[in-house]
Amino acid sequence: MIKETIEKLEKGEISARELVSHYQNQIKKKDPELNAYREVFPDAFEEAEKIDKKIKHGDTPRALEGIPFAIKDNILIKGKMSGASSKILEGYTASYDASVIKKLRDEGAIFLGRTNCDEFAMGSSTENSAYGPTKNPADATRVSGGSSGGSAAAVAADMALAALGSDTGGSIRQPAAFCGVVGLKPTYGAVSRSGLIAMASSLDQIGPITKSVEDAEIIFNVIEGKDELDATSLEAKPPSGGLASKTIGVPKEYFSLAEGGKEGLDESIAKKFNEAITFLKNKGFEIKEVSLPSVQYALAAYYIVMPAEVSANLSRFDGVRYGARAEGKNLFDVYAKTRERGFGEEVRRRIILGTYVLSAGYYDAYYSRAQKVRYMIRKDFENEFRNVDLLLTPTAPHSAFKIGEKTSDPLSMYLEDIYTVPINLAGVPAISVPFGTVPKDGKDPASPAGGLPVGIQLIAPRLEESRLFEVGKILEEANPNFS
Amino acid sequence: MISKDDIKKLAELARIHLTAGEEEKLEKDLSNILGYVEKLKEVDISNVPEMTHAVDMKNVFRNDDVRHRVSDNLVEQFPEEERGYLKVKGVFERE
Repeated sequence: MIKETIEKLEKGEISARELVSHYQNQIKKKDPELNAYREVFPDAFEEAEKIDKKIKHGDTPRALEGIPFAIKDNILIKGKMSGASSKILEGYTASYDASVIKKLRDEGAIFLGRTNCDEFAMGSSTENSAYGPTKNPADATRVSGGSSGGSAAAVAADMALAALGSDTGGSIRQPAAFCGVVGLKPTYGAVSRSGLIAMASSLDQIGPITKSVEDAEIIFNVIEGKDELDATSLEAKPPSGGLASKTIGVPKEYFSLAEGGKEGLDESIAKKFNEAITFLKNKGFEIKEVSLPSVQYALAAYYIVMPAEVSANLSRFDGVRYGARAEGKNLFDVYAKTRERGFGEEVRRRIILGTYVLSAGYYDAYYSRAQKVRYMIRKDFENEFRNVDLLLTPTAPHSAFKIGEKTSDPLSMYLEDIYTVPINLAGVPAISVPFGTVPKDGKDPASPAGGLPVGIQLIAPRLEESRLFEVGKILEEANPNFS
Repeated sequence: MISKDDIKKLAELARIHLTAGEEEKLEKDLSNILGYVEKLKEVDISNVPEMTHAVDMKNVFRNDDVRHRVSDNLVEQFPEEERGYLKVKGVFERE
C-alpha cells in the first residue's frame, strides 16, 4: 500500500491533497459511529500541499512521502493536544514531537489526527477511554480491542493508510487481530519512546498498525534506532542479507492456557490456528512443538510488574504543572481531588495495586518474585530460539467480544492479554498478521457481515524483526483478499 | 487478604481521594487480582536472579553538554499562573 501509493504520487496519478481528502471523507462518513479519532487535525491539507509542491518540483520521494497516518493519543505531536484519552490531561498541548513523530515527519508522513485508546493505554477494549469506546469496523456492537483500538479501527476502516500504536502487554497486536490488520510490537529498545506518555517503562514499545506486513516493515525501518532521548534505545541491527527462516515452533502451553475454565482457546480460533500451521507447512517450513514452561505465570507476573511501574510513572499527573486541576483546601487535597476526578476507574485501580505491591514488607512477596519469574520467562524464549527461528501462536484466545461484556470484571479483561503479555516480559518482537475470519453468531464467515477477523502471532528473537516480516508476508498470502 | 484500612492507606499514599463505595469495590477487585497472582508462589525461584531490565545495558552516558529543548509553550500549560510563574497551593500551612 505505501509503496504503491508513493509510486502513484510520483507518477502524478494522485496528489497528497487528494489522499488526505479521501481519508477525511472516510472519517466523516464512518467515524461518527466508530469513534476511532479523538481529533482530526485541520492542518493536514497544508502538509499535503507542501508535499505536492515537492513532488511537482521533481524531488525524489522519501520513504513515507505523503502517507496519511493516524497517531495514538499517547504519542506527542508538537502543538497538538495530547491526552492519552484521559480527563486529567484535558487541555494539554504537547511542547515537543515524540522522536517517532519527528522521524515520520522527516520522511514525509502526514498526520490526519490522533486516535482513541484506553486511558493511559490501560485496557484491552478501548472501553476505558474517558471519551467512549472505539467500535469494531467489522461489527459496531463489538470492541475494537485495545488499548490501541482507535489506531487499529482507523486503518481497518480505511480512515488512515497507517497508524502508530503502543504495546505494553498486547495493545498493538490484540486490536490489530480484532480489526483484521497488521500490528507490530518491536523488540524492547528498538524504537525510541521519547514523547510516548509512559505506562510501564520496562515493557512499553511503539509500533506500526498497517494494512500489510510490507507497510509495517517500511514504517519500522523509519522509526527504529538509537535515540539519545531514550537511554534504553538500541542501535538498529544492520540487514544481514541471508534470511530464510526454516523452522517454526508452536508452544504447546498456548493451547492449554486456561484460567479456571474461563479463558481457554476458542474452538474457532484453534481451527484457524491449525490452518495457519498447515499453510506454513505446505510452504516448506518445519513446524516443531516447543515448550515455554513459565509462560503460564506470565500474566500473574505482569499484573505485579506493570502496576508497580504505572504507580510510579503516573505520579507526575498531579494537577500542578499541566492538565486539569481540581480545587482543594490544601496541596494534598489538590493532588487527591485532581487525581480522583482526572483518572478513570481502571487507572486508579492499577495505581492502588501498584502502590500495594511496592509497599514496604510486600516487596519480596510480590515485586521481587515477579521479576524472578520474568527472568525465567525470558530464558524460556531464549532456550527455544536455539531450536527454532520463530514461534507461532494465536494473537488472542478469541475474536472481538461485545461492548460491555467484560467491563464489570477486571480480571476477565486482564486475561485478554494472555497470549501477548509473555512477549513484552521477555522483550522480544512479535507481529500479528490477519488470517481470515471466524463465524460470528453462527453466520457464514465468508459473508460480509458474518465474519470476525482473526490474528496469528509470529514471535522472533531480539532484534530479529526481519524474520517476522519475511514469514509474515508469506502468512498474509493465505488470505489475499482480506484487507 | 486486603482490608478496607489498607485501601484507605494506599489511597493516601497514592494521593487519590476515594469515595466509600469505591473503597469497597477496590477492596474486592484487589483481593481478586491478588488471589490470581498468588499462583506465582508455586514457582521455584531459588537461585533465579531478578530481571530488572529487558535490555542488558548499564549506565548509558552522554556528554554533559548543554542542550536546548524548545519549551516555549510550557508556561501556557500551567493550570494557574501569575506573572509568568506557576501558582500552587502553599506547601506549609499556617496554624
